[in-house]
Amino acid sequence: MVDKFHITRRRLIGAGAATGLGLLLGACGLEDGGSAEAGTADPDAGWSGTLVDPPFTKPDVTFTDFNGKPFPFKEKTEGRLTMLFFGYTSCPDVCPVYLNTLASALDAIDSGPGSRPIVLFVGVDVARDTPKKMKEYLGQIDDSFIGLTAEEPVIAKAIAHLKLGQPVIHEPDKDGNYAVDHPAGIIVFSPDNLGHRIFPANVRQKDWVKDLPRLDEGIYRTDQDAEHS
Amino acid sequence: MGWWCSSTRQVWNWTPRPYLGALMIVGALIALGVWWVVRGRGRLGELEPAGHDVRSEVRGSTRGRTTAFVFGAIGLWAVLDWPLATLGAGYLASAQMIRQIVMVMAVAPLLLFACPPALAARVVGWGWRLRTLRFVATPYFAVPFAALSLIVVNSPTFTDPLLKSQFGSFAMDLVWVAAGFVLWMPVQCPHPGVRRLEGGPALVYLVGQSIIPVLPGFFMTWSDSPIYATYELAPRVFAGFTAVDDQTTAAAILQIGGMLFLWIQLSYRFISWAQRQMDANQAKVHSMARQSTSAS
Repeated sequence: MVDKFHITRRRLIGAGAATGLGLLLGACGLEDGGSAEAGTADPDAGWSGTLVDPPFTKPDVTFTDFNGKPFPFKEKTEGRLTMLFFGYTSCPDVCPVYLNTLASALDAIDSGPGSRPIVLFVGVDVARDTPKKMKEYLGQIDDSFIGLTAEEPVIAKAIAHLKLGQPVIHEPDKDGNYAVDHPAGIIVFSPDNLGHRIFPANVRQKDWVKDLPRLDEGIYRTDQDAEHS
Repeated sequence: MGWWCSSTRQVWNWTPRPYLGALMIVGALIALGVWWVVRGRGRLGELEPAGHDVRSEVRGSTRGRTTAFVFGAIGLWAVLDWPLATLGAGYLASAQMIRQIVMVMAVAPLLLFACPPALAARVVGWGWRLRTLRFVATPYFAVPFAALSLIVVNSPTFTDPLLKSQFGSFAMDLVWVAAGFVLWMPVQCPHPGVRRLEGGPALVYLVGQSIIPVLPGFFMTWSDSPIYATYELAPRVFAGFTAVDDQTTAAAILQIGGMLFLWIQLSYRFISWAQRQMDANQAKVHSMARQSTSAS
């Protein structure tokens, strides 16, 4: 009688090979599960941020800081390395990763050029980003970071001045939570009060450590790097 | 249901999402085990080697093999499927390190031990595939292969790009799973036609292989910044547990966890070896006593 279930060595090996091939083909055929990582699109070698040419000027707006005091942006940041980020405290992904990476980078730079920038976090979700909540949120990341808020038109004016996308507040879910689309880049203003570079959301700690001291020293292009060295 | 784990940069949540590829692999393993119990074991005589070049003594009870198979299959499922695989592929270097350590140091030796020699002989045969297996099971091949594989899959140059896609992540996982099996071949190869390292040489080999994790562990411990972009830029799973904390934990798991598994194995092997030596000595003494009694 023929045993239907008889497994020969050849069959076993064949089945194993077919399974392996199937796994490979299956993996190839499926949609790439990779991240929607923003490209750095850097025109100059050796920089993580994108060169802005002509550079951004500072928006002439007055925010309110997380202590409730007015924060006239141009005056308060005059001649200082300044990093401006528009986000929201309930952001589950980009904002905390970005801010934590930056905080770690500043720890790593420790002292010297680039070590003491003014880091400004503007809460675009005006309803939830109260001064108290921003203070608590940023305090968990880095005490030196400053939270700013303002009326929506003021924030919109600042964002429009910097040619960034305006925030979009989505419909709340059944629990009342909602997502906010916001500009995901940090604009870095050099001590010459101009924003020469905008950094995307995937900048790493080691890249900040490399770029911030150069920006603080007024270097923002690779050709300047060569002159400087 | 996804095919294989990969880095997605989405916010972590604890909603189970099993992977088809992982279930297929574990399912195939269990099917093989069931076939062996239902059909294969019944024809043990047919499957056993006869007149072949047997080079290793077959040890291990059916109960021991069954237990090893059950734990090995559970371990394999745990390292290939959600949540450990998801965490390891896109969120935490420490989770990825747990996967590698469990696979290389526990699952691979358990499954090799669980494989009955007759089944291994049936699958591999006694021809050219056995000759290949004999080469793979020599320390001269196994150690460099496993070391190179584990160093490559722990190198950010390869890890970061591969983890972005399901195919890349699958290929990477395949490499370290293979490295785990190859690493144990010299001491745990189930084929009776392969000469295994026994006793002292086996212990020396196992101590020697513990050097392999030192290099990636060194970089992870002493690097000033996170070395993997995947884990550095991933949404945090636990508040306050930074990318650097994660990396340091991964290094500790690699070095301390790996050592722990290894020393458990070493202790077990040493005790078993010592026990066999004592039994052999005792048998010799009894034999001599019997001979002297019959002579008198």
